[in-house]
Order: sequence, then structure tokens, then C-alpha cells
Amino acid sequence: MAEKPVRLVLAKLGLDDHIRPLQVLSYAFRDAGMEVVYLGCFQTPQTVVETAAIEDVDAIGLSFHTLSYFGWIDETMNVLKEKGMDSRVSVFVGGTIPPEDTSALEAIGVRGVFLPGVSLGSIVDQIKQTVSQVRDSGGKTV
Amino acid sequence: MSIQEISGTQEKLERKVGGDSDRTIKGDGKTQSGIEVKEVYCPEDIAHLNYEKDIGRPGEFPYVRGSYRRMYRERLWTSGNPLIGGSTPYMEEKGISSEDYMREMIRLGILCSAIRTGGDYHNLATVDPDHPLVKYDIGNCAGTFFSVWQIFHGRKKHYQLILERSVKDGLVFEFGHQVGPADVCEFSMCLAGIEIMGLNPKEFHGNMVNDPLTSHINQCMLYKQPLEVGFRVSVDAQEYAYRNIHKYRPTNGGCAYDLREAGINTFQELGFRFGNFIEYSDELVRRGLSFEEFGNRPAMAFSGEIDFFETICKLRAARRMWARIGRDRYGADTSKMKCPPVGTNCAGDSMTQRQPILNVVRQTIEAMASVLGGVNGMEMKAYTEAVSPPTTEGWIVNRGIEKILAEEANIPLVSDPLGGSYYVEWLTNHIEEKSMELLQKILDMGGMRACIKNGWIQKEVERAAQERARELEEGRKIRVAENAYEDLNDYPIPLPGFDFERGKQGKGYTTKQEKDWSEWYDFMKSRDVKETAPSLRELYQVTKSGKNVLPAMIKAFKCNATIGEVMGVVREGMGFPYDQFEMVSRPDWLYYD
Repeated sequence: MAEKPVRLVLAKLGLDDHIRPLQVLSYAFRDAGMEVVYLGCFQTPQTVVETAAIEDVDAIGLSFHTLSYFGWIDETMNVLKEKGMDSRVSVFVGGTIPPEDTSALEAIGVRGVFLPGVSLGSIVDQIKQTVSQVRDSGGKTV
Repeated sequence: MSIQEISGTQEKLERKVGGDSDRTIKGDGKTQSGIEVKEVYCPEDIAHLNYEKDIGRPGEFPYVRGSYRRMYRERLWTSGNPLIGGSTPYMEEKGISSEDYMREMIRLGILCSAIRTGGDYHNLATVDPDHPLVKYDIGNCAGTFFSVWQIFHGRKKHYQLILERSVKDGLVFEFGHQVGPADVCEFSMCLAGIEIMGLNPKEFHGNMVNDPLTSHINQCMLYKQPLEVGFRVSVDAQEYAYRNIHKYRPTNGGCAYDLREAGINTFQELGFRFGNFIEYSDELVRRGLSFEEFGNRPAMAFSGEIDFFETICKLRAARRMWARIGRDRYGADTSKMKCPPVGTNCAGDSMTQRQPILNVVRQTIEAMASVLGGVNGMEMKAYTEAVSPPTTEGWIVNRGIEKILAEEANIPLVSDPLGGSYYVEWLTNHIEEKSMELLQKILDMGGMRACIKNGWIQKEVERAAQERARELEEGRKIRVAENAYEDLNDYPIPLPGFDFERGKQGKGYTTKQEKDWSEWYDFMKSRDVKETAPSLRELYQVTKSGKNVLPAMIKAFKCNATIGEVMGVVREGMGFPYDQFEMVSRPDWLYYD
């Protein structure tokens, strides 16, 4: 049986309206055979996690263009944990994030940080690979 | 043999004829907007152009060669202005207040004729800082500006200095928010401040982008603001300024620069810009103003792109489009016309995060193209653009570039020095033709608002953004050190501004954000809402009646209403929810009669 396609929610948190990357990614993911639940801008950690639960997704993709990423991501991880979804649902983050912050984000459970200049192809590959590892391990933390 | 193979052979043959058969180029060999260009241009390429009718002299119809007769002999372009608001997060972290920073900028000559502010996210969305969507974003974009109280009792005291200089010495005060209602709120707050200071608001100098149509496409539907609200508030402000404040430019008539950043091409940039301009102009004509009264007030703003000749020719084409639209659509008398100034924002999207020193070169090319295209104002992006608003070092580099172009390279000695070049005239004409075709298509579909409401424009922009990403991904377009010649990154050249710790925010708030919060709470504690409520009730009634909202808005700001309250009341007055995100409700003390 062919493997189920990767299903993910794409969103931006708070008032950051730099929407283009998310739009470009949504098409790239779709073209790569993923199922995209596109939430767009002006979301909160609660709306994103609720959508992830209802839509039964493998992953959440968050894009940032402001300084505020850490607070929002940290809050999202906590909401995921509260709902017991953190091992099953992988969180991926992209945007203008200083490279030196990557490890701090990974330390709070983010499973992929994509910085400017990364190709669409490699984002797709890494998400697919991570999701399939998580599925194979029965949703345990990778 | 397939068609591709045949045409491929022909391409190779043509290259051979060029005598350079060994040179292979990266990229697709077309201009940035995909224009196929010939190897060389000759008189026959522009034989159909008539010098008197189609080109003429600078400052004369059709203005292709410049808005003013003596161009740079008379005055140099207005320099890029520090985004005071935009720089503050960085400055305040270093312990420098906005006011000190501004004085330092004046001393350095960077801030000489104009000052520009950027809006914080809550300003752009016209909600208050305590809105649940603001949270970690407070003060990250710029200084929060929620009330006139801040100008006199809070951290916006430097506005007193700016407003005074703007009224008395003609300092141009710009709001670069673009999002119509955000610009209009800041405009109203400043007018309220001017009145409180006892100065004459009729003398207010400045301009604002104020283009809700573009924001609706680009800023996620105006931050969810209904388009009718954005359009109404925007045109009310335009009308108010055209009738009362004669030195003010209350819109740039279409900020296609921002859409260009998303990935649209040159033709779309001009087509959409003039589509917006026509949408606003038609409404103003309906309100009884004539094109002569407002046509030259919106300064045209375009993108200074990295494609050198395309940028030059786009600026030349834009002026001619303006002139012909004024004559043919609005019946303006060409002998009485005055072409508005044209400005560029150098292209932020051409700036890379990798090897930022190369951005200095990109800047220079974009600025040079802008000057050769005859700009009257220019805002350069600093080399830090990919990661932050400009730092002081960035501004210094920019000012240096502009002065070198002007006073070492002697470019501005002669107006439109490339005018008459076979290629430049052909390309100017080509860009104008294609852009006019697109504009006509938009008008045939019912104009820009109709095309936005049915989503056609958004689709076009999305498609363009896709294409832009793909062509970089596939190497059809080149960004040095990013998708080609990546070995140039082997020795990273450190630049100031790339070294400050943007990640310091961590889980809490930065020092600056703590200040932002305490300012908000101080204001809330010190305000007597009994003095504010009646003015908001009046604003609600005025909005409902369909009259111009500006006077009532200014009054509400004078009574210490906040940006979220003022726009909340306008939204309700037009039959929409108080909060467009439907997350907060109208305050208890505010009820309508």
C-alpha cells in the first residue's frame, strides 16, 4: 500500500502579515504530493493546534518575519504538549531567524528550522523524511 | 527535429553571429520581467516615435524625460529618510531614544529634508496594543503609536519637534505604512497634535502612502479590514487634504512597489499602480474635485529594481502614462498640467541575507538606475534589509552612495542623459504599451476594486510570487552568492547590523517592549474616558451619515481616543464588527445613542 501523503497545517501567528513565503510553500507542498491545510495569517497558537487536531495532520508549519517568533513558537509547543499532541505532530519553522537561534528552537521541540536561502526542494525532503520517521516510531519523539 | 531543438539551434547560431560563441550565460538571458531583447537596437526600432509628441523635453508633456524642466540643476532628489519608527527597536535596545537618534541623524545630514516613520503592527492593523494578536509583536516593527497622549506625555515627544519643523520649515513628514487606515490614523493624530500645539494645520508638509487597495492584496486584506472601510477612510483623507491642506500629498496613488516585492513584473507594477490611481481619482471626481486640483498631488512611487535598464525605462514610461491618462481620461489641459514627482524605493527583495556586502553594490546599481530614470525622491534600503530595518551604519553607507553618484560620478549634471538611446526609447515604449494593455484589461473588468473583490488581482500576484520563487530555484534568474557563485560565501564578510542579537527576545519581552507595555498601562490609568466617549459617539454618527470622517476622527484623537477605538467605531458605523478579527469587543464605557 502506498504511504499516506504528508498532511500539514500552514499558518502565521500574530499580526505578521508577510504572507508570500507561506503561499509559495503551500503550492510547493501541494505539488510535492502533500495535503495542505492553509490557515494563513492572524492565527493564535490555540487556533493552529485546534486545526491540527481537527484535521488530523502530521505537521504544523509556521513562518515568521519578525522578532516575535520565539514567544509564539514557545506558546504553540506548550499548547501542543497540553493536548498531548507533541510527539505525534511535528512543528517546522521558517523565516528570517538568526542561525544561532536554531538550536534554542530545537531545544523546545521544533523539528526543523528553515532559514533564508534554503531551497523549496530541501524543505519538502526534510519534512517528508521527519514525518515518515515519526510515523514509523509510532508517534514517539524523534 | 522538434520545435525546441530547432529554436535551440537558432539561438546558438545567433550567439555565434555575436562573435562570442564560447560564452555561456547563467540564467535565461531575458530581462527581469521576461522581455526578450535583441542583440542591438537601431534607428528603425524607434522610427515610429515622434520626438515632439512622444518624447519632448523634461518638464513638458508627455514628461517622459522628467517631471521638472531643469531637473537636478534645480534640486537633487530627496534623499532616503531614516525610518525613525523602524529603527527604534534596534536603537532603544542600545539605550538611545528616538529623539536622540533623530537629532543625531539631523547632525549627520542623513535627515535633511524629510523624515519617515514606519508603523508598528498594531498601527497597521489599527487595533490597540492589548489586542490578543499583538502580544510578542509589540514594538517590534516600530514605536507603538496608539494615542495623541504619547506626543505630550509619553515616548513620542520627538513628534513635537517633527510637527513643528514640518509646519514652520517645510520638513516633509512621511508615513510609510501603506495600509490606508493606518496612514490616515497617523495623519489625524498628527493634525490633532498640531492643533493642540497651537500651530496651523494648513501648513502641514508631508505625504503618506495611504493605498488600501494595494494593502488589501498584499497585507492580507488590509489586516482583515473590510475593503469598503479602507477605501472610504482613505478617500475621505485624500479629499480632506486636497480641500484643506495644500502642501500635503495624501496618497501616492498606488503603491505597486509593495506588490513588486511580492514578485510581479514591470508591466503589472505600472498597470496595477495606475489602476489604483484611476480608482481613487474617479471617486474624487465623483465628489466634485477636478483632475487639475489633485492629479499632480500623489507622488508616484515605484520600485528601484536590480534590472538596470528596465528600471530606467519603467520610470520614463510611468510619467508618460500619467500624462496620457490625465489628458485622455480626465480631459486635463496639457499646457496647464504639472507632472508629479516620481520616487523609487530600492528593491528590498533583491537584498540577500548571505554575503550582505554585495547588497551595497546592488543598492548602488538600483540608485543609479533610479537617478538615470529621473527620480525626484529615493528611499534606499540598507544592506541589512534582509534581516532588519536600516541601522545607522546602513544609512551612512546609503548617504555615501547617493553623494558619490551625485558629486563624484557627476550623473545628475545632464537631465535624462540616456534619452534618445535606441534601446532606452524602444524599451520605454515597450513597457508603456504592455502596461497600458494590462491597465485597459483591468478597466474592462470594472476597475481595480472589482478585480480585487473577485480575487483576480490576488491570483495574479500569487502566480507571480510562485514564478519568482521558481525561477530562482531553477536558476533562470540569478542572485549572486545565493543561487549561483555560492563559493563567494566561503569567506563571510562581517558587517555591522548583522551582529546584534535579534534572538535575545527569548520567551519574554525585550527592554524596549517592557517600556511599550508600561507606556500603554500609564496611558490607560491616566485617561478619563468620560472626556473621550462623546467624541467617539460623534464619530460613529458621522460615519453612519456618510459624511467625511476626518474632522470627527481628528476630534476623537484630540480627546485621547486610541487608534483601535477610532477605527473600531468607524468599522461599526459602516456596519462591520468593532474588531475585524472578532477577538475583542467594544469597551463597556462606549455606547451609542
